[in-house]
Amino acid sequence: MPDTHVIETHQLTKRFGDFHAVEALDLNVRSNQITGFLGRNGAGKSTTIKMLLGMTHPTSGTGALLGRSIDDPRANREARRHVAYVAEDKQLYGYLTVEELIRFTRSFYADWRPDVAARLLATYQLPPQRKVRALSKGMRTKLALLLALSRQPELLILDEPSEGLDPVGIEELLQTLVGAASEGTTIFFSSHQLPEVERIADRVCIVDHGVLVEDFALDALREDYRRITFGFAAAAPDDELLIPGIRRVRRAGRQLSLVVSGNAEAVAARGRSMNAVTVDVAPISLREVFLESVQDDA
Amino acid sequence: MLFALNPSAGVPVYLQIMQQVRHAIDTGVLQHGDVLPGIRTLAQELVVSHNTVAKAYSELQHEGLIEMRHGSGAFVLARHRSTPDTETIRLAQQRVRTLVASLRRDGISENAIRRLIEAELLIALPARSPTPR
Amino acid sequence: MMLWYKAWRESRVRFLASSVALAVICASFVFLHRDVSPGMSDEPLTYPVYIWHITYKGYLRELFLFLTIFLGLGGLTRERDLHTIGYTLALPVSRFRLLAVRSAVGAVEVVLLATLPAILLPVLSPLVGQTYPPSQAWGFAILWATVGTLTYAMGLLASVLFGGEFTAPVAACSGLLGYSLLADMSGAKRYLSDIHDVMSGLDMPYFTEQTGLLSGPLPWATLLAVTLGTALLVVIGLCVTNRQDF
Repeated sequence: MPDTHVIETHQLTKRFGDFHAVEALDLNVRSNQITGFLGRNGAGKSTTIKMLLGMTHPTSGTGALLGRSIDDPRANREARRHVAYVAEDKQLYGYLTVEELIRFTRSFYADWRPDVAARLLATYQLPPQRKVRALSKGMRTKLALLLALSRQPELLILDEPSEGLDPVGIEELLQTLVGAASEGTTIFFSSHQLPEVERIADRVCIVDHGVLVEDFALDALREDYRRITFGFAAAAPDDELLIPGIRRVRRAGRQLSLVVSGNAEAVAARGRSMNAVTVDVAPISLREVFLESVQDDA
Repeated sequence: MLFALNPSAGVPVYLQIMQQVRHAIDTGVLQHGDVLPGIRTLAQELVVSHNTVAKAYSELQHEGLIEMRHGSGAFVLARHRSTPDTETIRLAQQRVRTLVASLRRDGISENAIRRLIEAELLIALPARSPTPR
Repeated sequence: MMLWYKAWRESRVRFLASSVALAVICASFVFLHRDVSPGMSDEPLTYPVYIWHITYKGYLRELFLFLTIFLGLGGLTRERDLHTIGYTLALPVSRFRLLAVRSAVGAVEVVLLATLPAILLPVLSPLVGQTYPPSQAWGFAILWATVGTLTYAMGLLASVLFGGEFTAPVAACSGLLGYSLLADMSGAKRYLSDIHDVMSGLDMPYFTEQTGLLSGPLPWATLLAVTLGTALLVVIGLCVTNRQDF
């Protein structure tokens, strides 16, 4: 299956007055993968997603959703036929019943699959006659997923989908996403739940202050990224360690802590050649990489 | 089959799956003909990306440990068992070669070597016959 | 198209409540006319004049205008406050269509509200021994429907420009008030008509205050101008909506 990009942005920028919500973002999301979109609150995740869906107009830069330009409302509308979106608040029309909302949504999509909708309705145990405003947050999330997945969209975009869910709800959500992905839906979701992202995502993009700071495959994180800690008996060397692969350097007393994205052996050897008395190479979790990526003030 | 996966262990998850399948086959927990769940089912059960499971299955099939069937998961092939025998024989071969070479260097004739080895096997024979328990 | 259904469901309660309110007040004007009429002036009023004073020039008019603004509320800005905007704008429909359908449904509702008195007055008046000519009632209905859609469009535009539950109606009412004041200024009288007077016929050539009856041809030119004004407001609303960031 050819690897196409479901989302592409080029120098995408959104400024609200002086505030740079998104700055020169070059995002590329591949199809047939689960991609996690991480960042602190206010880093620009929601704004980016809104620009992709035509809800917000970019200040500058371009973007494409399923190959169609986001600047062209008609093209974007055409793309949205094949994109499902679960917004952060998961609010749906409170005055409709579950059944009415399903009928409403169904009318807009030619690829609606009533058998899937019926199955999900039963699996999620959603009461068809209940008004949407009377549903709990967990049930609203399930309803939003039902509305999204009954269409077999090419791309499913979720903004903080696990927000407000209890652990069981989160587990069910992840299973649903994995199931949808295995049927061909590309998943792009933003989340603060790093362990969950670490479990199901194939790839992760991290934004900070509106800028893309990391873009890696999780297998690369596991295989190549390492935390290397050098301990020195004398003062830790001051000179710049210019070895390819070093992403972050932190100094603490007589120790240097490095995050490397590859070349761990070469870096460790270099440390020994600089008379490090302790060289510790350890795997690094997604949470640690995330915290390292966003802690520095850009 | 039950898996114990650690997404933060510094080892790609697909490798962890492969290691655990291999270990299960080696110890006999998974035997020839046992069924492994389909990619989608296992992905949902383990809550990992289907790409991870697909890669693990693909590599395991490449190694001849499993065979994937369209839509019905994968079957374990215990052909893996034969490999240790071949390997052991090969190593034994090298040891014999080394021993014969050193005996020859010491001046022992080929006939003498043959008689020595046969005598050794005859002595060892009673110990190797199966004794009822 | 389900968008019509959505617009209806979102305005349904307001429309039905407005209908009930107008109907009840209208009916009460008819049934209580013997009690209310004497207190309204020193000389006894004829029935049509009474009806005109209290309905087409009086409280009912103000209530009707307010209700049309009320019907114009809602829309995407409101959905942003309710957080359903993500769902709505992700649908494969244009913002133009969303607003156009909402406008159309609201306009129809306004017209229906305007015709309520036209139906009730001729029907209920005989019950108190009076008559009210249907032709009169329908004449006023046309005036009201036309002006009502203008004020509805004011409410609609306000709902596009302002978020929050109260800002939009306050803005629209202020706009309406401002326009009335402007039109009342002596210099403007030649160019602008106070739409309140268009609705009631006060000082208008097509209405005779003595008899309380519409007496001449309806001011079609003025009504056309009002309708164009309505269209203009809706078009402005569409342009603004297309440019907004949600």
